[in-house]
Amino acid sequence: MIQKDIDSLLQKIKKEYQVFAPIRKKGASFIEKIENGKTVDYSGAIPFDSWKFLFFPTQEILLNENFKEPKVNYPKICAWGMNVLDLKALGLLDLVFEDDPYYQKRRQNTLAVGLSAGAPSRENFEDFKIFSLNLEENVLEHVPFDIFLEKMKDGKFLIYSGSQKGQRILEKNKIRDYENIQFAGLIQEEGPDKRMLELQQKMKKSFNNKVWDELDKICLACGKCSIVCPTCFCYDISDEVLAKNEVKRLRKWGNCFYPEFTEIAGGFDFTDTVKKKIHFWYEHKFVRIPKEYKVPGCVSCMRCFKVCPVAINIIEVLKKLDKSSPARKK
Amino acid sequence: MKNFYLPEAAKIIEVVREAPNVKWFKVRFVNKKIQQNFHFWHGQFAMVGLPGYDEAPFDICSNPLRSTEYIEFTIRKVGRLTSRLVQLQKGDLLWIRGPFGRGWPSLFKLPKKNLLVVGGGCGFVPLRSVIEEAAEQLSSERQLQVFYGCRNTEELLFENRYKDWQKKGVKLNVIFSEEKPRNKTVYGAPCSYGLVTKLFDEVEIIKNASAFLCGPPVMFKFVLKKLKEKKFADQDIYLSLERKMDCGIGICQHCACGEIYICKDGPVFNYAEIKNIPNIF
Ligand SMILES: Cc1cc2nc3c(=O)[nH]c(=O)nc-3n(C[C@H](O)[C@H](O)[C@H](O)COP(=O)(O)OP(=O)(O)OC[C@H]3O[C@@H](n4cnc5c(N)ncnc54)[C@H](O)[C@@H]3O)c2cc1C
Ligand code: SF4
Ligand code: SF4
Ligand code: FES
Repeated sequence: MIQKDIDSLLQKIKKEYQVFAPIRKKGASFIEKIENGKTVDYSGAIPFDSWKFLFFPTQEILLNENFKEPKVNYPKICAWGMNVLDLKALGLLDLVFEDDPYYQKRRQNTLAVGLSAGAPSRENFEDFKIFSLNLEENVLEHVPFDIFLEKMKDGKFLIYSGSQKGQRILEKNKIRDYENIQFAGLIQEEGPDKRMLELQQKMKKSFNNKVWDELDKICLACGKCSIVCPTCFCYDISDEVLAKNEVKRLRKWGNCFYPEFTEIAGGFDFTDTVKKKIHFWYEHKFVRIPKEYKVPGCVSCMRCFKVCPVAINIIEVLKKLDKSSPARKK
Repeated sequence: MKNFYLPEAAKIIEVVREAPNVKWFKVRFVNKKIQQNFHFWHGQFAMVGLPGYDEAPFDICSNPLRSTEYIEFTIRKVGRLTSRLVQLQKGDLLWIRGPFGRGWPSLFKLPKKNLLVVGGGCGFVPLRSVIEEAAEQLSSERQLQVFYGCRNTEELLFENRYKDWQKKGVKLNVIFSEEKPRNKTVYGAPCSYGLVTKLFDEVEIIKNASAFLCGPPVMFKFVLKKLKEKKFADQDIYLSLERKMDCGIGICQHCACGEIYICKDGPVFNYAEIKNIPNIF
């Protein structure tokens, strides 16, 4: 497959789906709805923002004015060009919202098209490597996708299908030269990542570690990291009275750095310091998510570091935690 | 796929003003089938809301053995939702989803035969369902002692239930922190003056008991100390914790602490299980 074939596949998909893809602007990549396939960034660079808003909108109606689930025509959306890390994050959201009817209905109408281009995203693997993440042979078996495009050094593409939906689209577009990959769950055959499990134990006992006191002094609790993070999914539920006295119950993205996230009546706040807030954020990623889903709550995309006004680097924080902990027991 | 966010309407069939800012409600689901199939475990909570006022967690404080007929809530006015809730009258609707969470353990599965219940202030609410149920299951073999700390007689909760509980064998003691009682008893229950911990020195504690606690975080600290003095093992102590809750099903993260969710893994916890989690109280 050459670029021209990929462009023509995209054009065909665009007839049925609203396509969102990374677009290069001012030196960074942003995910936008595309009108013209020519503007898509195939470099493999990790976009500034994450794809989660397509699967988990910033705001959605849980209950309509009759306090019933609203009838929604979920739009057909194609996420075109998701890298492997972002597909891992999507796999996590799929698990978290497994029993969520709103998520699942929306998800059924999405098409996830993966992309790997080797070079630029290698920056993340090599500079920031934390988990055993690399494009090993079987990595595609452990991420969800419908179609995956692997861009080779010579500019040609290899094509994979990861679902019946993906396969049907490829067939319909007379693409025969592809490989079928069967999704085998997020967890590798060897079982949950060992480094993740070690880190989980360390995190659990780390509240008195001076790392958090250091972060307490520099973190602004602005919450930008959580907004761009593809694995942050917490939310608030609240009612909104709309124009004609119609009340709707909404679910909106939450942010554990914001005031009131853990505050109860009378003003008592369980995370009343920056130290407690940032610790709570790390705990979610490295203690609670591994406990519930057996996968790391961080896919090491480094979006949080790139967006952070005071350049807090999650990998450096984890390294410090690792070093300052007492020697491993057992 | 079941939609956990979909509330069911319930009609208020009885209201009692329990204290200046506290109302007790007996409610029944509008849909009869829902009521007939409704089961909860003592100590579980429900998300109760009103259109336009959001929803919040409230303990179901009625006797679980009557769950298919009605359920009860006791609500203290503290903010926007609760201010509206306490204005509701007989015949008004509430919107309920649940029950959620893990409640108090089954009395029949506890290694200790007897039960000591210690409640402070509004923390007495989640203990009521266990008292109501246990009171029906007492014998010479199984005894129930209740310590209830309250500010003053005006704030007293469930006083119309004391005689019935005592008749069924419950040993109830009330203690007021802000008012010296004029009589030795209040609504039939022996009463005194001081903090709830003082009862541990005034009254003989039942032997061979597990302890169930609920109250403000400071109360936990001091009651736990007393229980340790009385040689209660950590694993025989259970507490019901409070957090902000939005989803009630362990996803939204508002109630998280360490590796647990108060909404899903609790709100009732064994003390041994949580005592090492930083910031748990
Ligand atoms: C498991 C559990 C059981 C509870 N049982 C009872 C009960 O039986 N009776 C009773 O009177 N109260 C109970 N509470 C406390 C009750 O949920 C709060 O009083 C209520 O949320 C206050 O809402 P508000 O809108 O009136 O207050 P506001 O202060 O206006 O609330 C603003 C927001 O904060 C949240 N919030 C505030 N305080 C709490 C809190 N303590 N817990 C959880 N969320 C909170 C609410 O979701 C609300 O959206 C319980 C809390 C928990 C966690
Ligand atoms: S982006 Fe940086 S400063 Fe802002 S909350 Fe996150 S870690 Fe703190
Ligand atoms: S590197 Fe940062 S933004 Fe990326 S998944 Fe991990 S925590 Fe989220
Ligand atoms: S209330 Fe949402 S996780 Fe507990």
